[in-house]
Amino acid sequence: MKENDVNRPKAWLLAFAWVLPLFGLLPAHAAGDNEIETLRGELTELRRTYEARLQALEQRLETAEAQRTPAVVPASTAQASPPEAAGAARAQSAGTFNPALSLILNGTFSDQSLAPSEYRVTGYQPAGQTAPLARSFSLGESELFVTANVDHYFMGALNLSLNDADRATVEEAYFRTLELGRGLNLKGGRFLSGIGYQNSVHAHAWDFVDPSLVQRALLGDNYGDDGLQLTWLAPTDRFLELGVEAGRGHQRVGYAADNPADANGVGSMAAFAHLGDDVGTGGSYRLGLSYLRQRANTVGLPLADLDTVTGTTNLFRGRSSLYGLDAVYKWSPQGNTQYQGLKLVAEVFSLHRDGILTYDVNPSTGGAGAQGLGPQVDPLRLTQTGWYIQGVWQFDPVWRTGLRYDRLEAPSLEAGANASRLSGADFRPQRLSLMLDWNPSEFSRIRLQLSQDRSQPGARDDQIFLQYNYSLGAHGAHGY
Amino acid sequence: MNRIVPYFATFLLLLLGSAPANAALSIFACEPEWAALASELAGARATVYAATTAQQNVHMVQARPSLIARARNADLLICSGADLEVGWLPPVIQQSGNERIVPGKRGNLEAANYVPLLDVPAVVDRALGDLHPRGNPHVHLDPHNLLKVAHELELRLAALDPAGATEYASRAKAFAARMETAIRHWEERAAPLRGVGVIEHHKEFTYLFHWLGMTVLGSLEPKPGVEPTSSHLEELLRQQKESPAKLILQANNRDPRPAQWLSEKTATPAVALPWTLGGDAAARDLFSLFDELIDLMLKARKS
Repeated sequence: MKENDVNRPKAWLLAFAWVLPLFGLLPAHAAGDNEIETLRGELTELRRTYEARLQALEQRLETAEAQRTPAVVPASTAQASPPEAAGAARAQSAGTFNPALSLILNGTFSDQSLAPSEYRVTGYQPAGQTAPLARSFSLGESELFVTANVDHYFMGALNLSLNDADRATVEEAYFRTLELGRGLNLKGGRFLSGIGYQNSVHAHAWDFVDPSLVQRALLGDNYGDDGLQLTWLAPTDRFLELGVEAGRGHQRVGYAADNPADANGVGSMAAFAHLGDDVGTGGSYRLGLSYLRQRANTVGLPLADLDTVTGTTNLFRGRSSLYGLDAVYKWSPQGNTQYQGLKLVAEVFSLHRDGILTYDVNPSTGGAGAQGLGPQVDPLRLTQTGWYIQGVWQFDPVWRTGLRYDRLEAPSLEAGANASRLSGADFRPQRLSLMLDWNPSEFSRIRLQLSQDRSQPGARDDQIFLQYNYSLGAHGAHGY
Repeated sequence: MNRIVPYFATFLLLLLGSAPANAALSIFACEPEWAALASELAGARATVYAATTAQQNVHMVQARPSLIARARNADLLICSGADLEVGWLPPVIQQSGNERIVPGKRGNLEAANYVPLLDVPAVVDRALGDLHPRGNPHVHLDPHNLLKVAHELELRLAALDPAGATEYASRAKAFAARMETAIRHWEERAAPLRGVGVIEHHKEFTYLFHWLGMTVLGSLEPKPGVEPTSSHLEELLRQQKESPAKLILQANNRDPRPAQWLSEKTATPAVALPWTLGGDAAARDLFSLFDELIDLMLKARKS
């Protein structure tokens, strides 16, 4: 770049910097110090008169209230009195522009026949990578939501997740456009991906204590990323929404090796489509199709469950593609959700890995390398597929019960020269959960859940969870 | 890929086939009463979509795909406001990607902003139930409020569709004239109800009772939005012996059992009222709604 090119903007800035104060001085000259003082005085006077008037009005309201006999309210005076009451509620304060805050408190008491440290999902998640909730009393996950409009173009939101190990994580921190129009919404920052149905639902709004097995095994409970999301709603009477996402890929799909991608460009891409409508007077549905692709520049792939020997560390380089299908159906008599309602959800996810596996890069761990086998590099194709179906029946204004069945298929594996060291585990993890919850108001929920988890061969985990879930602060709104 | 193309094309055609018909304006009304008011004022110049029905509890509606799709093309959204739709309307507006109807825009009309609100709580605390900090949002049940909202609606319609301004003005004038005559008639007919003490289910008829000079002596809900409990009903039973209410009134989309129980124990008539049009066969429009409400209450009072 030539020196002139650099200097030109500098010159403009200089000129601007000189001219700006001149403009700033103009009104000040026009007004003059005396006039400012006069204006200030007038303002104070105005404020005083208003305060006096307000007090007088309040007094009148009080006397009127005292005189009014409760039994008879003539229609004419009834019309005149309320505005003052409304005015009082609109009183301004320094907090007017504060963001809306809402806090979720959540905790559990649980009893599990298997120690959480022993928990694994055969063929999907080795022990120590994922676990059900802690046993006995535990705090679970508290969430803090802060949200407000930034200006007329953007809104901003932060969702902090505070877990029982005293760690705070930024679950979401994003901006979104307010007035892009034409059915478009642009979101940027960190947010939960729009793939699938349950993935973008926060933990406090789940219908069960824990996420589905497939979501836990492939999406790490909730898959989120740092990036951008653009959605478009078709201008038709039938709901058709399309969305695309581009991100860093900082949260890995599948095995939870959460390596930060140290690479330029876009590390992951996602796309989804939603179609939905009403069915009759009481029913509605939404169908979804999702796709997520991640580039893996040599990440750890702990295939612990598939290894024939223990203590290995593997590296994977290649592409991970996730396909998803989801369906939601809701029904309530005449669409009145107050007394009864049914919600059915089913989702399928399939993860395909295609790349190169460097098997056992760390012989010092006493793994295969130590046994004289040495690291070996060869193509890897791995497919992991799982699904669930759940139904929640609200049989009373405050009571709901639900049943969920989870199933993961045995992974299919083509490991080339590494095949002798990896066994495609011929086991299909499954789980059955029964839930009953009591919702005395929109803001509280007490839930009992019984699960029978068969995620590993020969060891059944019987789980009992008792959970509280409270939301404090701003009245939240939930998506479909 | 080639195999998918024809399917995709068919799919798109199906969708395009369902694109909305072209009137000058498209109006999204959160509740049936506002849909009716919009139709009164806009006539054939607008297609009006009512998002909810009289059978639903409008505070607890799901942000369904169909609502989002309908909000997408709306030029004007008319709702009760004052947080009545707070649980579902914000995501509907947001997901619709329709900048014309976001709060603060000309295409977003909240009725509660144009009428004096009742029941504004002095203390806002969730321990007191599901309070609406700005006041009671069920404003349409005082017909004087309908006139106020109609006036604002006329201004919005004219601003959004200047070509129809004269039509909106003449329709609004005709509506106001009809409504004013009807109000005088209703106030005369309802004179026997003045001063009558009632027990309500939920505070959804506050504006009606206030307008007709009726007195609320208690609610079946122990706190706003909290379902009736047996201990609270026992308390109402005791209260009914000391200072008896003449009527037990509730919206007909509510559970009738608590009102029936109290009615049987105290020999006080319980009446289920349509809270908006479509609530029963007789409440077909904004005029027959008030005819029906007053009819039902007078009938119960005589029995």
